[in-house]
Amino acid sequence: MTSIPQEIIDLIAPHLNQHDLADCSRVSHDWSSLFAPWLWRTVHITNESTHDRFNSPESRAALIRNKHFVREVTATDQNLLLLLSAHDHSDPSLLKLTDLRALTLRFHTDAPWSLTVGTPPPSPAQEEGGAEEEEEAMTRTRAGAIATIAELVEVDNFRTVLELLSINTNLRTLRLGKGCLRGAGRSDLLPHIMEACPTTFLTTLEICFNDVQNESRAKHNVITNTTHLEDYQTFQLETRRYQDQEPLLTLKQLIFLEHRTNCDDFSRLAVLARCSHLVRLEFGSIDCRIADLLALGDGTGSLLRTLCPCLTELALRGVILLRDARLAALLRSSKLGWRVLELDELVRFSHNAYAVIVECVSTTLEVLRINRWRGLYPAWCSHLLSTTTQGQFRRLEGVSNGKVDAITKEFTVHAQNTYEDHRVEMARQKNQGQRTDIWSWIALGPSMEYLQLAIEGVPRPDVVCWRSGEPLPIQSMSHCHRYKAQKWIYRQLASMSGLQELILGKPDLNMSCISFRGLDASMSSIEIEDALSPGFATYQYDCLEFSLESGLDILSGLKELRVLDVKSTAHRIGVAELEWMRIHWPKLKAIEGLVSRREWAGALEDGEAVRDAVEAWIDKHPNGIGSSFLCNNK
Amino acid sequence: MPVILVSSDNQDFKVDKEVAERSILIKNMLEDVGESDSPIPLPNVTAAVLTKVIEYCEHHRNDPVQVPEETDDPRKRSNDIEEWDMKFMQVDQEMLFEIILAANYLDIKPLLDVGCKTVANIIKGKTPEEIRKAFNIVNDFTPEEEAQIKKENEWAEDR
Repeated sequence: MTSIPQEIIDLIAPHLNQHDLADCSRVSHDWSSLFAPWLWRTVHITNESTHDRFNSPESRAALIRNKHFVREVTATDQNLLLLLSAHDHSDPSLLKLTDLRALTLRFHTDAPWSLTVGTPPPSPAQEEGGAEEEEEAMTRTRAGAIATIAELVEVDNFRTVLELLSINTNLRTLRLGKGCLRGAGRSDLLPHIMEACPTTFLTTLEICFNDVQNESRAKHNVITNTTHLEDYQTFQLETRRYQDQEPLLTLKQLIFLEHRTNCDDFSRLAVLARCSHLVRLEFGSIDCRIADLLALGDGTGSLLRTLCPCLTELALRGVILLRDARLAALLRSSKLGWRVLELDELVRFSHNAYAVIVECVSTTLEVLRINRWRGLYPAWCSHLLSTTTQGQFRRLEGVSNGKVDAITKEFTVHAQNTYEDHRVEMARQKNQGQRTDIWSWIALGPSMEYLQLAIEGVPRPDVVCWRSGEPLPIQSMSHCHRYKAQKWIYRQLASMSGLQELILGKPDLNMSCISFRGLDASMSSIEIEDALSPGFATYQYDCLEFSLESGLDILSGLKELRVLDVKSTAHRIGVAELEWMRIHWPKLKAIEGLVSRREWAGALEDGEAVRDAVEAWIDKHPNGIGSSFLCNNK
Repeated sequence: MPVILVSSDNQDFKVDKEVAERSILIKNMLEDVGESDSPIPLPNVTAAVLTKVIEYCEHHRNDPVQVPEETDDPRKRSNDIEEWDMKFMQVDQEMLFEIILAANYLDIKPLLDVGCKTVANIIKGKTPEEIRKAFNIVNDFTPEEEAQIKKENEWAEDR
């Protein structure tokens, strides 16, 4: 066949993964050179098996030959790092690695190497034979000889990193992950790295100061004004190391990765002094002293606000142990107002922090992601949703995916209570002659693109719930009432005319949990359910259903909807509903979580028939909305 | 007003201007020339390929102009091919590449994209030998070279 020009290959290759690219480069000489720039573009050596295979002399030689193609690197040990910067003196025509865009270093905590300033560089004469010696040393390490470990530490990998950084002026992302910066020298290394770092394009910087248990912790667990001021002074001292360095004007994202707090180690925070244009700040873990320092500075005002006036995105990972008032103070530290807030797990979340979040939602907030709403009162959910916004709010993520945890309180709206509250409020207002619909979900207006929300407490008298093969007692609730609550929720959702993804119901049914319990996706839903109960997340029977009977038609305005997730809910989606969705939601590509089928929403025999019809319909529409049908992966 | 396109093997094709202008190359040509009914020669495209390309442009004549999305990871989108396009692309490999080259030459971005995605989908999950077979490529490696390159790339063969 005719040869393909490189420009066409450059359009095909991005669709392929590393494995495919490797196969392509083994097809012919022609293909080998065409795909080489793509095969070597990303070198992620992250796990043991790739690492072992990469250690072959052939692979290493090939990397040295192709390293000018490399754009993204993840290295989990220093060998790769040394190879990337290695000078091959035997062939001066080989190109250096100078167009690196992303560098990630992540060393094992127990690895014998971290970034280390080694012995002074060998004299040029010695260096000639250096590469070979290194290779030998590496091979020997694999054998695990303890004696060679000491040798390896001698290698000045720190200088290697500095050199690599200084010649790669296009670097966008630098991640100094686990294990790179640890030990006593870490706070001395960082300023040097920052100095060598090219500042032209750097947008993302990640720093992990390794999780070393801090001895001085106990001493300072009570914060007084004195320690407060001391911390501020320590911080100011640390920033001096950076004062002669150029500001990182392009840096938009700064991540402090470590999961354990380094209570009084402010040296890494001092980087903030160079980040005047920072937009996003993330903490893998935050303790009260850091929070106080950032939120209060020397007591006169927020340090964060002064140092990083452009900051609009904040992410706090892990369990946030900050006391309510302290968290609130931190959440008030954005000069422009937060656009994105990501808070993993709020343990001491209460009135003050909640008030700030409501304030954010009503002003600047676009995205709110809180994985675990432990401190949230049920009434707050509805209240938060009825906050008046300026129409910026577009994403609410309320529950964590993939984990099923009974203790966790997810962001859940109790439909029946909300509806009752609404009625009471409406009646009160009517008596007073007012007509404002304050309990409707104003926050979730047309600006919403993504909504993840568990809706519970929709009374369902006719739904038969099965537990261990036995039907549960039926709730007493009139049909009329049930439809009113259901329709009220529908009307709330209907106001989100721009909605693209609607994720309802409980967190993801974790398939690994299922297989652990001897289940698999090919089982019938009744079988799955029986096996899962008791003591495991079962399907919600009092959730929002999706049936024409209960008023699905109200949602016909959601023209942008692409994904509907009804995971673990008894949703009542039958053929008529699928057909309706196909017509009214033209962009809908997937209904996820159709595990529980309609048989629960009525008599069992009927349900069987409906289920078969649904499967037949899905088979008939191969590229349609049923194509991701979870139980259909036979 | 119809436009006359002339293939490399001198066959004339009469197509609507709207259809022809799916090709940015032709669109620019028409703009440069102004009102003219002189035929447009396409020396790089054979009649057989041009027939296919015109079929595509006819079907997509009313599509909105594509806005380039730089942000999305293209790896995710390669199975995102419309049903009609998928059927349209069910041709032999020689023709598939001819269409891609023509789309590149004529500057028809959506057709080029669909073509490249189709090729990528064919490649995915295949062994080097299967790829050779699929695209009719001669293996010009010696067994030693093949073993060598396999070793060199082994690190990337994960999963």
